[in-house]
Amino acid sequence: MPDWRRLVSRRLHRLDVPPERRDEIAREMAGFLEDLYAERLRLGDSPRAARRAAIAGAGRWPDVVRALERAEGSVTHRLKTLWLPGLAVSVTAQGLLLALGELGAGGEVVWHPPQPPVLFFWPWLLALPLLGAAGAAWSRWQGGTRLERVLVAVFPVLAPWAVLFPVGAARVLSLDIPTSEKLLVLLVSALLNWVMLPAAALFLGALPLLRRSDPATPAA
Amino acid sequence: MIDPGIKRGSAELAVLSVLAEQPLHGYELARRIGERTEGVLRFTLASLYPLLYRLERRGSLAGEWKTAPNGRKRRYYRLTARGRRQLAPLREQWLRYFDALRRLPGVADA
Repeated sequence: MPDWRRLVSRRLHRLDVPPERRDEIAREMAGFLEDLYAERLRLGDSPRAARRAAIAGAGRWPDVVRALERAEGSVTHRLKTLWLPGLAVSVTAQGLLLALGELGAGGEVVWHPPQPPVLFFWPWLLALPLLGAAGAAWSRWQGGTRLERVLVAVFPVLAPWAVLFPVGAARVLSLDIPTSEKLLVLLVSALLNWVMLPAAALFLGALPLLRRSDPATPAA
Repeated sequence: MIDPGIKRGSAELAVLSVLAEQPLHGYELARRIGERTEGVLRFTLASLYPLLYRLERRGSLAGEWKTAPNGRKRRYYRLTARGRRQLAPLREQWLRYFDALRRLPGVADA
Protein backbone atom coordinates (compact mmCIF):
# COMPACT_ATOMS: atom_id res chain seq x y z
CA MET A 1 0.00 0.00 0.00
CA PRO A 2 1.54 3.35 -1.02
CA ASP A 3 2.13 5.90 1.73
CA TRP A 4 -0.51 8.34 0.50
CA ARG A 5 -0.16 10.63 3.47
CA ARG A 6 3.52 11.14 2.76
CA LEU A 7 2.91 11.64 -0.95
CA VAL A 8 0.20 14.26 -0.41
CA SER A 9 2.15 16.04 2.34
CA ARG A 10 5.11 16.38 0.00
CA ARG A 11 2.92 17.79 -2.77
CA LEU A 12 1.24 20.25 -0.41
CA HIS A 13 4.36 21.53 1.32
CA ARG A 14 3.97 24.91 -0.42
CA LEU A 15 0.33 25.28 0.57
CA ASP A 16 0.07 28.62 2.35
CA VAL A 17 -2.14 27.71 5.34
CA PRO A 18 -1.29 27.13 9.03
CA PRO A 19 0.68 23.86 9.52
CA GLU A 20 -2.13 22.13 11.46
CA ARG A 21 -4.59 22.93 8.70
CA ARG A 22 -2.14 21.70 6.06
CA ASP A 23 -1.81 18.41 7.96
CA GLU A 24 -5.56 18.01 8.15
CA ILE A 25 -5.98 18.68 4.41
CA ALA A 26 -3.16 16.23 3.61
CA ARG A 27 -4.76 13.60 5.82
CA GLU A 28 -8.13 14.04 4.17
CA MET A 29 -6.77 14.01 0.62
CA ALA A 30 -4.63 10.98 1.39
CA GLY A 31 -7.83 9.22 2.45
CA PHE A 32 -9.41 10.10 -0.90
CA LEU A 33 -6.45 8.65 -2.84
CA GLU A 34 -6.37 5.58 -0.61
CA ASP A 35 -10.06 4.88 -1.33
CA LEU A 36 -9.57 5.48 -5.04
CA TYR A 37 -6.58 3.13 -5.05
CA ALA A 38 -8.53 0.45 -3.16
CA GLU A 39 -11.42 0.70 -5.61
CA ARG A 40 -9.11 0.36 -8.61
CA LEU A 41 -7.64 -2.77 -7.04
CA ARG A 42 -11.15 -4.14 -6.51
CA LEU A 43 -11.89 -3.49 -10.18
CA GLY A 44 -8.93 -5.65 -11.12
CA ASP A 45 -6.10 -3.17 -11.66
CA SER A 46 -2.59 -4.18 -10.71
CA PRO A 47 -1.17 -2.29 -7.70
CA ARG A 48 1.02 -0.31 -10.07
CA ALA A 49 -1.84 0.62 -12.41
CA ALA A 50 -4.07 1.46 -9.44
CA ARG A 51 -1.41 3.73 -7.98
CA ARG A 52 -0.93 5.46 -11.32
CA ALA A 53 -4.68 5.95 -11.75
CA ALA A 54 -5.02 7.39 -8.24
CA ILE A 55 -2.18 9.87 -8.81
CA ALA A 56 -3.49 10.84 -12.25
CA GLY A 57 -6.93 11.42 -10.75
CA ALA A 58 -5.52 14.07 -8.46
CA GLY A 59 -4.77 16.44 -11.34
CA ARG A 60 -1.86 18.91 -11.45
CA TRP A 61 -0.63 19.56 -7.92
CA PRO A 62 0.31 23.23 -8.42
CA ASP A 63 -3.31 23.77 -9.56
CA VAL A 64 -4.56 21.85 -6.53
CA VAL A 65 -2.46 24.05 -4.25
CA ARG A 66 -3.72 27.27 -5.90
CA ALA A 67 -7.35 26.13 -5.75
CA LEU A 68 -6.97 25.19 -2.10
CA GLU A 69 -5.39 28.54 -1.25
CA ARG A 70 -8.28 30.35 -2.90
CA ALA A 71 -10.79 28.17 -1.06
CA GLU A 72 -9.01 28.66 2.25
CA GLY A 73 -8.86 32.42 1.76
CA SER A 74 -5.03 32.44 1.87
CA VAL A 75 -4.76 34.93 -0.99
CA THR A 76 -7.04 37.42 0.73
CA HIS A 77 -5.22 36.77 3.98
CA ARG A 78 -1.83 37.58 2.42
CA LEU A 79 -3.27 40.72 0.91
CA LYS A 80 -4.23 41.86 4.41
CA THR A 81 -1.10 40.71 6.22
CA LEU A 82 1.54 41.62 3.62
CA TRP A 83 0.63 43.58 0.50
CA LEU A 84 -1.72 46.24 1.88
CA PRO A 85 0.34 47.21 4.94
CA GLY A 86 3.57 46.91 2.92
CA LEU A 87 2.33 49.26 0.21
CA ALA A 88 0.95 51.69 2.77
CA VAL A 89 4.29 51.83 4.61
CA SER A 90 6.13 52.33 1.30
CA VAL A 91 3.87 55.16 0.12
CA THR A 92 4.11 56.86 3.52
CA ALA A 93 7.91 56.54 3.56
CA GLN A 94 8.21 58.08 0.09
CA GLY A 95 5.71 60.81 0.93
CA LEU A 96 7.59 61.62 4.10
CA LEU A 97 10.88 61.85 2.21
CA LEU A 98 9.35 64.31 -0.26
CA ALA A 99 7.64 66.34 2.48
CA LEU A 100 10.84 66.63 4.51
CA GLY A 101 12.69 67.72 1.38
CA GLU A 102 10.06 70.42 0.75
CA LEU A 103 10.40 71.61 4.36
CA GLY A 104 14.15 71.90 3.96
CA ALA A 105 14.79 69.04 6.37
CA GLY A 106 16.16 66.75 3.71
CA GLY A 107 19.64 65.38 3.69
CA GLU A 108 23.13 66.15 4.86
CA VAL A 109 26.06 65.68 2.55
CA VAL A 110 29.03 63.92 4.05
CA TRP A 111 31.96 64.28 1.72
CA HIS A 112 35.54 63.34 2.31
CA PRO A 113 37.29 63.90 -1.03
CA PRO A 114 38.47 62.05 -2.99
CA GLN A 115 35.64 59.70 -1.92
CA PRO A 116 32.27 60.40 -3.54
CA PRO A 117 29.74 62.34 -1.46
CA VAL A 118 27.28 60.43 0.69
CA LEU A 119 23.88 61.95 1.38
CA PHE A 120 22.35 61.08 4.75
CA PHE A 121 18.66 61.81 5.18
CA TRP A 122 18.80 62.04 8.96
CA PRO A 123 15.24 63.27 9.70
CA TRP A 124 13.84 60.64 7.37
CA LEU A 125 16.01 57.88 8.79
CA LEU A 126 14.98 58.86 12.31
CA ALA A 127 11.30 58.62 11.34
CA LEU A 128 11.64 55.21 9.68
CA PRO A 129 11.60 53.10 12.89
CA LEU A 130 8.14 54.49 13.60
CA LEU A 131 6.97 53.48 10.14
CA GLY A 132 8.52 50.03 10.48
CA ALA A 133 6.76 49.59 13.82
CA ALA A 134 3.43 50.77 12.37
CA GLY A 135 3.69 48.35 9.44
CA ALA A 136 4.65 45.38 11.63
CA ALA A 137 1.83 46.22 14.06
CA TRP A 138 -0.68 46.38 11.21
CA SER A 139 0.47 43.02 9.86
CA ARG A 140 0.35 41.44 13.34
CA TRP A 141 -3.13 42.83 13.93
CA GLN A 142 -4.26 41.12 10.72
CA GLY A 143 -2.70 37.83 11.80
CA GLY A 144 0.61 38.18 9.95
CA THR A 145 3.41 35.74 10.70
CA ARG A 146 6.77 36.93 12.01
CA LEU A 147 8.25 36.81 8.49
CA GLU A 148 5.33 38.83 7.08
CA ARG A 149 5.80 41.46 9.81
CA VAL A 150 9.48 41.79 8.90
CA LEU A 151 8.69 42.02 5.19
CA VAL A 152 6.03 44.67 5.77
CA ALA A 153 8.42 46.71 7.92
CA VAL A 154 11.21 46.72 5.32
CA PHE A 155 8.83 46.96 2.36
CA PRO A 156 9.92 50.53 1.44
CA VAL A 157 13.44 49.30 0.73
CA LEU A 158 12.40 46.09 -1.01
CA ALA A 159 11.44 48.04 -4.13
CA PRO A 160 14.84 49.80 -4.43
CA TRP A 161 16.62 46.57 -3.55
CA ALA A 162 14.68 44.37 -5.93
CA VAL A 163 14.14 46.71 -8.87
CA LEU A 164 15.63 50.17 -8.75
CA PHE A 165 19.06 49.34 -7.42
CA PRO A 166 19.91 46.59 -9.95
CA VAL A 167 18.50 48.75 -12.77
CA GLY A 168 20.44 51.80 -11.57
CA ALA A 169 23.59 49.77 -11.07
CA ALA A 170 23.30 48.33 -14.58
CA ARG A 171 22.81 51.84 -15.96
CA VAL A 172 25.85 53.21 -14.12
CA LEU A 173 27.96 50.25 -15.16
CA SER A 174 26.94 50.83 -18.76
CA LEU A 175 28.34 54.39 -18.64
CA ASP A 176 31.85 54.96 -19.84
CA ILE A 177 33.50 55.80 -16.52
CA PRO A 178 37.19 54.93 -16.48
CA THR A 179 37.88 54.61 -12.72
CA SER A 180 36.22 51.41 -11.62
CA GLU A 181 37.16 51.83 -7.94
CA LYS A 182 35.30 55.15 -7.68
CA LEU A 183 32.32 53.60 -9.40
CA LEU A 184 32.28 50.77 -6.93
CA VAL A 185 32.36 53.21 -4.02
CA LEU A 186 29.49 55.12 -5.60
CA LEU A 187 27.41 51.97 -5.87
CA VAL A 188 28.22 50.91 -2.33
CA SER A 189 27.29 54.34 -0.99
CA ALA A 190 24.00 54.22 -2.92
CA LEU A 191 23.32 50.80 -1.47
CA LEU A 192 24.10 52.13 2.00
CA ASN A 193 21.95 55.25 1.58
CA TRP A 194 18.90 53.76 -0.02
CA VAL A 195 18.83 50.20 1.17
CA MET A 196 20.98 49.28 4.16
CA LEU A 197 20.44 52.25 6.45
CA PRO A 198 16.68 52.60 5.79
CA ALA A 199 16.26 48.83 6.15
CA ALA A 200 18.09 48.87 9.47
CA ALA A 201 15.97 51.80 10.71
CA LEU A 202 12.71 50.14 9.63
CA PHE A 203 13.71 46.78 11.09
CA LEU A 204 14.70 48.41 14.37
CA GLY A 205 11.20 49.79 14.71
CA ALA A 206 9.62 46.43 13.97
CA LEU A 207 11.80 44.50 16.42
CA PRO A 208 9.55 44.84 19.50
CA LEU A 209 6.66 43.50 17.43
CA LEU A 210 8.45 40.34 16.41
CA ARG A 211 8.70 38.82 19.86
CA ARG A 212 5.42 36.92 19.81
CA SER A 213 5.62 34.14 17.24
CA ASP A 214 1.87 33.53 17.33
CA PRO A 215 0.00 36.25 15.50
CA ALA A 216 -2.76 38.17 17.20
CA THR A 217 -6.31 37.29 16.28
CA PRO A 218 -7.31 39.39 13.32
CA ALA A 219 -9.94 41.99 13.99
CA ALA A 220 -12.02 41.02 10.97
CA MET B 1 -19.09 16.39 -23.52
CA ILE B 2 -20.24 19.11 -21.11
CA ASP B 3 -18.50 22.49 -21.08
CA PRO B 4 -16.30 22.93 -17.95
CA GLY B 5 -17.95 26.29 -17.16
CA ILE B 6 -21.38 24.67 -16.91
CA LYS B 7 -19.95 21.83 -14.86
CA ARG B 8 -18.36 24.26 -12.39
CA GLY B 9 -21.63 26.08 -11.85
CA SER B 10 -23.53 22.86 -11.26
CA ALA B 11 -20.93 21.31 -8.95
CA GLU B 12 -22.19 23.20 -5.92
CA LEU B 13 -25.76 22.06 -6.57
CA ALA B 14 -24.59 18.47 -6.96
CA VAL B 15 -22.62 18.48 -3.70
CA LEU B 16 -25.37 20.13 -1.66
CA SER B 17 -28.09 17.90 -3.14
CA VAL B 18 -26.29 14.64 -2.43
CA LEU B 19 -25.26 15.71 1.06
CA ALA B 20 -28.88 16.71 1.77
CA GLU B 21 -29.63 12.96 1.82
CA GLN B 22 -26.90 11.90 4.23
CA PRO B 23 -23.43 12.89 5.45
CA LEU B 24 -20.62 11.49 3.32
CA HIS B 25 -16.84 11.67 3.13
CA GLY B 26 -15.10 13.15 0.08
CA TYR B 27 -14.44 10.00 -1.88
CA GLU B 28 -17.90 8.54 -1.30
CA LEU B 29 -19.48 11.87 -2.22
CA ALA B 30 -17.53 12.04 -5.51
CA ARG B 31 -18.34 8.41 -6.27
CA ARG B 32 -22.03 8.89 -5.62
CA ILE B 33 -22.28 12.04 -7.77
CA GLY B 34 -20.49 10.25 -10.61
CA GLU B 35 -22.84 7.28 -10.27
CA ARG B 36 -26.04 9.35 -10.12
CA THR B 37 -25.09 11.52 -13.10
CA GLU B 38 -23.85 8.48 -15.05
CA GLY B 39 -20.37 9.90 -15.20
CA VAL B 40 -21.35 13.32 -16.56
CA LEU B 41 -20.26 15.03 -13.34
CA ARG B 42 -16.99 13.61 -12.09
CA PHE B 43 -14.99 15.10 -9.26
CA THR B 44 -11.27 14.81 -8.83
CA LEU B 45 -9.25 15.67 -5.77
CA ALA B 46 -8.51 19.08 -7.31
CA SER B 47 -12.13 19.95 -8.02
CA LEU B 48 -13.79 18.42 -4.96
CA TYR B 49 -11.84 19.59 -1.92
CA PRO B 50 -11.54 23.31 -2.77
CA LEU B 51 -15.32 23.30 -3.27
CA LEU B 52 -15.96 21.45 0.00
CA TYR B 53 -13.68 23.82 1.92
CA ARG B 54 -15.31 26.86 0.34
CA LEU B 55 -18.77 25.59 1.26
CA GLU B 56 -17.55 24.79 4.75
CA ARG B 57 -16.09 28.28 5.20
CA ARG B 58 -19.39 29.71 4.00
CA GLY B 59 -21.22 27.70 6.63
CA SER B 60 -23.17 25.52 4.19
CA LEU B 61 -21.36 22.34 5.27
CA ALA B 62 -19.81 21.05 8.47
CA GLY B 63 -17.04 18.46 8.48
CA GLU B 64 -16.32 15.90 11.19
CA TRP B 65 -13.77 13.07 11.46
CA LYS B 66 -15.44 9.67 11.86
CA THR B 67 -14.56 6.04 11.31
CA ALA B 68 -15.67 4.84 7.87
CA PRO B 69 -17.04 1.30 7.25
CA ASN B 70 -13.53 0.24 6.11
CA GLY B 71 -12.19 1.14 9.55
CA ARG B 72 -10.30 4.21 8.35
CA LYS B 73 -10.81 7.72 9.66
CA ARG B 74 -12.52 9.94 7.13
CA ARG B 75 -13.90 13.46 7.29
CA TYR B 76 -17.66 13.35 6.83
CA TYR B 77 -19.52 16.37 5.54
CA ARG B 78 -23.10 17.16 6.43
CA LEU B 79 -25.38 19.91 5.25
CA THR B 80 -25.96 22.59 7.89
CA ALA B 81 -29.25 24.42 8.40
CA ARG B 82 -27.77 27.28 6.41
CA GLY B 83 -26.83 24.90 3.60
CA ARG B 84 -30.39 23.58 3.48
CA ARG B 85 -31.73 27.10 3.21
CA GLN B 86 -29.31 27.79 0.33
CA LEU B 87 -30.16 24.58 -1.49
CA ALA B 88 -33.85 25.33 -2.13
CA PRO B 89 -33.32 28.59 -4.13
CA LEU B 90 -30.31 27.06 -5.88
CA ARG B 91 -32.45 24.14 -7.11
CA GLU B 92 -35.13 26.60 -8.15
CA GLN B 93 -32.62 28.68 -10.15
CA TRP B 94 -31.27 25.64 -11.97
CA LEU B 95 -34.78 24.36 -12.77
CA ARG B 96 -35.70 27.74 -14.21
CA TYR B 97 -32.46 27.75 -16.18
CA PHE B 98 -33.12 24.28 -17.66
CA ASP B 99 -36.73 25.25 -18.34
CA ALA B 100 -35.61 28.38 -20.20
CA LEU B 101 -33.14 26.37 -22.29
CA ARG B 102 -35.84 23.85 -23.20
CA ARG B 103 -37.92 26.65 -24.70
CA LEU B 104 -35.19 27.54 -27.18
CA PRO B 105 -35.66 26.21 -30.70
CA GLY B 106 -33.96 22.90 -31.24
CA VAL B 107 -32.90 22.41 -27.60
CA ALA B 108 -35.89 20.38 -26.38
CA ASP B 109 -35.55 17.95 -29.28
CA ALA B 110 -31.78 17.71 -29.02
